[in-house]
Amino acid sequence: MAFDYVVLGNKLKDARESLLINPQDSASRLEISLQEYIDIEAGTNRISGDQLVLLASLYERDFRYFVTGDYPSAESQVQEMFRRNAELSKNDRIAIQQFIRLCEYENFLEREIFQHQFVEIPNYEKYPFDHTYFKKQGEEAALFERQRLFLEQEAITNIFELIRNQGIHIFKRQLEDKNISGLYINHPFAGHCILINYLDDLYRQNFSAAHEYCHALFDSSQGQEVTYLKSSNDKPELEWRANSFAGNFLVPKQKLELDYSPGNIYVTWISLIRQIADRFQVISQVVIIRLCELKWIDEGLRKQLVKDERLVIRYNEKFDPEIPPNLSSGIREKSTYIIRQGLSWYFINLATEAYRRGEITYHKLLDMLLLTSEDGYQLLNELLIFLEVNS
Amino acid sequence: MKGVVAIDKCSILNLMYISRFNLFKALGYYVITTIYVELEFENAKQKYPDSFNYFSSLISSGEISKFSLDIEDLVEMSNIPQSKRASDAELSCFIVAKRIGAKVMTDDRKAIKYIQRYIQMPSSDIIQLVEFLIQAYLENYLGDYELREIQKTLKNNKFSINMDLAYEAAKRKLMMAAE
Repeated sequence: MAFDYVVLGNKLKDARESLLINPQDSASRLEISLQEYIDIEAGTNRISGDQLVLLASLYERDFRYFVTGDYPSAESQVQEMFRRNAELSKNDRIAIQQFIRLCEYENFLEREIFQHQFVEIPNYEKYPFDHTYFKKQGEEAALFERQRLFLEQEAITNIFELIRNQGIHIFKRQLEDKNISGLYINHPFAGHCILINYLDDLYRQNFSAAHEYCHALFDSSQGQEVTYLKSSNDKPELEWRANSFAGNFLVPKQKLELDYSPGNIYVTWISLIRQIADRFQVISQVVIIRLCELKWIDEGLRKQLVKDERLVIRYNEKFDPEIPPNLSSGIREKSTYIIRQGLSWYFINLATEAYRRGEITYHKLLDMLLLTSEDGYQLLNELLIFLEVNS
Repeated sequence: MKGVVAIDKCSILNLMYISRFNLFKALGYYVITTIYVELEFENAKQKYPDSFNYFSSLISSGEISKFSLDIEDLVEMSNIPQSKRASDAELSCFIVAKRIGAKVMTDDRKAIKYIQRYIQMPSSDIIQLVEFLIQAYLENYLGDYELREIQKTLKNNKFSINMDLAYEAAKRKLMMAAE
């Protein structure tokens, strides 16, 4: 069958526009005139393989998406996300595309290489709640999930691991837009994908992870969503539900009532809130909201507490569940850098194990870890991954 | 001429570290690479300008020729079974080599297995750095002392050869003489 250059041209146009790249920049990348580039997008000027490789790299897409008709991509979900969130910067759009690639890699490693089987997560959108209160739905779903996952009332020490164990792909990455806390994409092939913005407070990230987990549980039919810290979403009720879920899931009401009692003077409130925040690894604001919901704190006290700087937990007092505690300081520093760039320690282990078992090539390992050959030699040696040569 | 060889970035870097890219010409190889490899050097240009400059000089001096990919090459790359187990740069070198009957240079044991299994190229079409250096020794382009230095340099650049390269090369030379 003849190759369809018109279909390819349309894909190139959509991909370019989604990353806010103007056609002149694309033409410059290929070292051709603007008209020649426009003709490529129209399908009237046949693109060469080399040119397509350059554009696939510029547009952060797998070349397979452009040359095969049935490549299982999340293109429509991503396009919809970018359309609804037009203010997303060019760099954040690129970051989201790279995140999608990592989810696809992770899915390939988990399902095709290691044959992991996951139980499908419930779809609470279809659950017959006997009311239409979104916040209450979030609260009830948090309770159901705690029961389903046998968490009882204990603190969740690693929300990221818990989410991954459900077969959900979750990564952190520093985005330019500090107003974004996280985002969710329902990838038609890789499944539920969550990205948490690394700019946030570490404990805030835990809350964001639980929040996005709620979107996976309730809102997968939406295909995608971006959560903003301060913004009026077009569907605010979904955000109220996700916030309610996250608060109830991370800090169960029953446990608070069982293990703690209200403070009697102001300083005891400070100490109580910090204790709870440390134990459940959430920011103080979340604890204050939970205590308000329990009616332990009234509006006047709440206003006083949210402004109290003693409730700000410093960075070095927090624990990042994504970084294993047993790493040397050198590797810890590097892994923090790697995670900010968008990788996870879990993903690194998965990819390196695939290489050790002979399932992927060394060069593929470097690609997956977003490393250049030069950096790869150094970093992988520190992780005791060596290029295996025949000798 | 011994033939054409398609080369990837790792192999180019190793030859850069030991300053022995000229051995290809001496041994009668014509070296080609693809846009993917060029892109890899370009993407790391800011952090590793020396690597990029080295690659650019090889291109401008004609020591490496860029072999252009067609759309059909990309379609074929995507159709290779288990294509996601190898990098796109590797796949491009493998496909081009197979298409024009060239050899491939790689040192990764897993890549070699992949080529044999999925690209169905004979092992005689795969060149490895160790064998390449021994060949250069056997043809008197390298001596014992140079091989020892090369092995040391490669080790410093995280490429360990689990044998005494000079000893192995000398052994083969003696065996050849005995034959």
